[in-house]
Amino acid sequence: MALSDTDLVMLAKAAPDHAAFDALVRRHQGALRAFLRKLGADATQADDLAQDTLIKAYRRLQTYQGGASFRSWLYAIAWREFLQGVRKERAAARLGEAMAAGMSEEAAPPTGDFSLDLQRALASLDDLERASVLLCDAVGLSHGEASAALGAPLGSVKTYVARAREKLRAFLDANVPQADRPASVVDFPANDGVRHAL
Amino acid sequence: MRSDPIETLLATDFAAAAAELENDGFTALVLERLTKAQMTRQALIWIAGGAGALIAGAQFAGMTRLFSPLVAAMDQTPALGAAASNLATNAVAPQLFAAAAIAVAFAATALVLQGER
Repeated sequence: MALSDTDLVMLAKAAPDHAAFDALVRRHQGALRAFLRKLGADATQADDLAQDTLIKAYRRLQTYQGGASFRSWLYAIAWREFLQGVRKERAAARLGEAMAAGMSEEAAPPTGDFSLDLQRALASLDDLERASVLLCDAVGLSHGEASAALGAPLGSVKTYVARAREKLRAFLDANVPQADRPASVVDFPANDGVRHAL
Repeated sequence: MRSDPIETLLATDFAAAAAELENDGFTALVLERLTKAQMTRQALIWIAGGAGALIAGAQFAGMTRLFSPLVAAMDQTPALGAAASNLATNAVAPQLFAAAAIAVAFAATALVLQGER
């Protein structure tokens, strides 16, 4: 039976070697890097940010009290790293242009055209909407965990998620033909039955 | 249970993206960087601790000279005469205190390193 995150954190705190933390890294690094890429970082930036996140998590492990879930705590560090790193660069222009256009080839995962369309749709959201919907719908955190990770009020996170879903639905309705969509999600019924313009 | 198609779409796409990144050597890179960073920090702490110990030890010769009048006065006191005489004449005390200071500094360094991750 696999140890829980909490068990591994307790072991990592107690043990002088890296074995328990190794297991935590192996368990979370894929999703963490995917999250950073979906947020808008290119592959290299996402890996650098993920490395910094994990190193900081290791150094701050003694301060983790277990009040929030380990994933929530880890993604909070990643979110701050993203804000400090990628957003500064984007403000300087290069990535900003790519994000605004939603056409950065580096940001698009190599999983097919629809995935690229989805990446473009995500790029049309603002940072908090994108982070909220990714944490709740993609990573699988609860609204409360996402709220803790983003440092945003719970009600705001719920609003961001709902608004992001509507924007994604509208973007995909407007830009992706039904034939190009995965079979499981051919139809995107809007909650109010109205198509939303971007 | 996911009720919204957008939620399902995001979850599926994200799971595929994360799965592609699972076994590409990234974990080894992180752990290598962690080990290097830890070794560098430990080396720096040892160097700082050693330098501090040597500096602390070097101060004791001067400090004991300041106390020589006191030792001389103690020498006149019958009860303390033997001990004071031993301190003053055998010239062991400064080196002994310096060694003790260095040992304390190294012990403190070791304690810091024990808590170092």
